[in-house]
Amino acid sequence: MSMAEQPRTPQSQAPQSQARRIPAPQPNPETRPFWDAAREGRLMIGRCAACRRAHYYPRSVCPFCFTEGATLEPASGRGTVYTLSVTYRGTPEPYAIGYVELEEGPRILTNFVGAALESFRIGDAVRVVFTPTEEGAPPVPMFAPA
Amino acid sequence: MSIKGKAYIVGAYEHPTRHAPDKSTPQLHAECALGALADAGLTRDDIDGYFCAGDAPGFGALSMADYMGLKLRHMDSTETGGSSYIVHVAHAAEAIAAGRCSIALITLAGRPRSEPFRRSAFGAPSPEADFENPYGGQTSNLYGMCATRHMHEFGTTSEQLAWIKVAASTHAQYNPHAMLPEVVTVEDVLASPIISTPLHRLDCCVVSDGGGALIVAAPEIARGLKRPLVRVLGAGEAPKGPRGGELDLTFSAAAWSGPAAFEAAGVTPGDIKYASIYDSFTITVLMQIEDLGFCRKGEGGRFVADGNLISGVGKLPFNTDGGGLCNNHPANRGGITKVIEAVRQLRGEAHPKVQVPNCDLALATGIGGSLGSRHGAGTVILEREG
Repeated sequence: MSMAEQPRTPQSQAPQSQARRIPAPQPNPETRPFWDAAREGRLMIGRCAACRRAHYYPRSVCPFCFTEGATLEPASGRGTVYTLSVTYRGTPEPYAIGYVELEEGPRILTNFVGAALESFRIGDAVRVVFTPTEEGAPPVPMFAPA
Repeated sequence: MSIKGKAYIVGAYEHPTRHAPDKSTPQLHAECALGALADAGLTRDDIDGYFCAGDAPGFGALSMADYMGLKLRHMDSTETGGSSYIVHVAHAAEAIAAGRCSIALITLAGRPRSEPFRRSAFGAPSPEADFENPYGGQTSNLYGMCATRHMHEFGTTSEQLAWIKVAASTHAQYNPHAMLPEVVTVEDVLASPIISTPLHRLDCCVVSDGGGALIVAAPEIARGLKRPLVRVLGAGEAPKGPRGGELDLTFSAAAWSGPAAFEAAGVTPGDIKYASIYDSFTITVLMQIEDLGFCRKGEGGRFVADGNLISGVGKLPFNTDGGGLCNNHPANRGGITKVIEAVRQLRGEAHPKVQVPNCDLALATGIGGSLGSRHGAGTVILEREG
């Protein structure tokens, strides 16, 4: 995604009552097991059989040692806030986007939910909550206060 | 193969428009090409290499070469977002040094104020899309997250970031084409609405229609032209991303592109008289200043405060055209205007109020894409000859 070229929504056109649309994941053969687990409420991370390092987003070839055969394993779903930004403009409703550092190590992009947006701080303990997207599509992992 | 001294920037043109509802994007590309050719004293048929990036319509180089009637023996459409055109200067110098072309044209143009965003040819879904798109990443919050972390790690403040905008606006008052020519204060920046924490509206660059073009040529061609000689001394480029979860938002890819450029050029940050530093947001500037070695990591906030970036006042005059923060950010991509103002400074053709005395060594650096996820940095070091 080349963010630098994204349009900015003029504030005058941003409908204030409508919720932000969360795009539905579109699983492919490589990512389907991750999204199937998400439907069951389980957050998975990638683990390399060779170098044993955890990675995210999961992929079949380890991004660190480039060995094939990385596998999925369940994450604890616990972590801490690494950073965040609360967006007020160009959106139907404010939201908090940021990175959470999982207990297993990887820092992953997410939204912080389940509390006042302004209340989240770097270092706060959080836990995964799966949030629905579109009818029939998998939910996506977000994080709420632990 | 070193590119040092193997290529010169002989033409530079920034389109004066900031709002172009009555033009097409390819038309703007062509107008920018004409402007740069006129600046160089060359004609269309002299061009044998062409460079463009994702703002170019249709099939990119193929569509634009056909539209402009270019006869080419070399083309390159490396896409690193807004920093693409800085990378293109380096790639053009490499192509010239390798004998693949002798006169290269680089164009950028777009109309984000006048038409809806259109995706370029690079259209297949990205592998990270399903893992990132649901969370509403926008340019503002992907840079805001970096500012949040920088403040946490190093104690950087919104007041310090605001000084970057103050410096840009101090320069913009002398640019008749600047979108925002009014000088602002730190208080003005802090009083502007929050777009995405901790960034205020005045921490963000403008959205403008327009474009620019550059012409890079071989030494024997440059010496036959009438313009001051500006040669490419060194360059570096690098991508950076979340790295499988081993993400570190405290530095940018300029930490790699900068040292590579300095080493190739054989100069140090202390030698640089003028710096064009991509200013999509104030935080972008601050992180690049640290990553390029103008100050130590974490000290950028103190470095930019109190007017240190203002020409004639501070130690590191930057973005004397007003930058993306105040002057122009055509097609939501600022890389080409960074090189253009560096060329103006080296030629002694910046506005007299902001011209750096005896400016013989300049740097242009940029971050394209998203600082908070994946981005590409490009750095070039340019020298006036004679």
